[in-house]
Amino acid sequence: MIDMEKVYREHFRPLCLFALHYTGETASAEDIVQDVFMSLMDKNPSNVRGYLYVSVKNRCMDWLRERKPSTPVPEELPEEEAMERSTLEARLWTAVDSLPEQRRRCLLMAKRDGMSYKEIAAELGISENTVRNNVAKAMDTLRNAPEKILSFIFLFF
Amino acid sequence: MERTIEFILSHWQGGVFDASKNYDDFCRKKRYRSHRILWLSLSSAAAVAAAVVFVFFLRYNAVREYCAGSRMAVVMLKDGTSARLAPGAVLRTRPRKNPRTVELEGKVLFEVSKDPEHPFVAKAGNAAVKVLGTVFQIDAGSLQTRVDVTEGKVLFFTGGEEIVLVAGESAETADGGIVRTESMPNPLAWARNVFIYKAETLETVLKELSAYYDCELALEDQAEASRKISGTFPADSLAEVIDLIEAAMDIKIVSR
Repeated sequence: MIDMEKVYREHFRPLCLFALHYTGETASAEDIVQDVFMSLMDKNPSNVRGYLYVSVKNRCMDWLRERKPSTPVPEELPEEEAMERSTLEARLWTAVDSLPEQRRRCLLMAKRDGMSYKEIAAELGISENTVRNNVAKAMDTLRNAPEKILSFIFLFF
Repeated sequence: MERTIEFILSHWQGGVFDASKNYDDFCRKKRYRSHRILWLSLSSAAAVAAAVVFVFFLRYNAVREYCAGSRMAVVMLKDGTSARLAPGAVLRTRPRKNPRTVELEGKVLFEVSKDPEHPFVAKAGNAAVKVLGTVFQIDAGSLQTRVDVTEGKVLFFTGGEEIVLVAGESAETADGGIVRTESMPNPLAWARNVFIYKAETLETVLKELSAYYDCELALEDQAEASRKISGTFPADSLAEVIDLIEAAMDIKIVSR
């Protein structure tokens, strides 16, 4: 019997990020991963992690064919590499999750929404300097978050 | 690395990709799915059972109908009874529900297998014949039903009336009741394809042949009507029977 709670803890977020590379939508990525977890109980494979990644990839391909047939299929990474990348991304996602609220807002407005420090400062009612400071510190946290993983990644690149 | 961070930041939303939240959702769906599977299997089992009962009911009540077309037909019933259907006759049975009860239209000769525990019942409209094991025929016309018994005895009943007929006796329905009628020497000629006479008067013989071939035969010399004849005559051809009788008795038969 598979301990689903443990599988969730270990693999859910990396798999969602793996799927996100195909779908580009968080909601569909989550749905696909949940479907695969559902099927995991029936299949009970010996290599759980391998099964999960292959299944998520196949379902993503089906999803793309069905929903976005014109989208070029993303380049395929070797399985190990895809798993490492997903783990790294999951750590980064968690790192963003655990940033202090104001620091995260500054970071997202600057990097995701492409706003200038001046605009962010006006929006949040803080000084431009504080915004710059927040973004720099947040980026530092993200760069250092997956240190262990990073050294591993560098072996490949 | 910068590209990876960029990718994460461009998609990041609060509360998304939350493993524990999704795990709860997963458990809810799993429970729902197992309930649904249980419910589905229960309901499909019930549906199958109902279908099986229905099919058995249909088969149990299934009516088997035998029709004789322009030729005679012989039907062996499940209980061993043989039924010989005259052309145009119809016989209906419910082999599973009651193999010893039949309904008929037209003329049918039954040779009923003996089974004292289970009387054989032949129904024709309102009239019916109940027997234990005999040879008899019923001629169920649109106006009346006639019964001729060849072996054993039968109970002939319709409405409130019933009579017992033994071998050589005949009766028919009339005005809602039953009357005994004159019995012909060969009521089964149509089935046996032969006329057998044992010291019958020429009058009786010509009467039977007239009725059988639907014509009116008479002796040229009526004085000979009481002379008796014995013999077996094929029922295929009226002309042949007349020739045989004329030669044997040295008489002349005319058709009026």
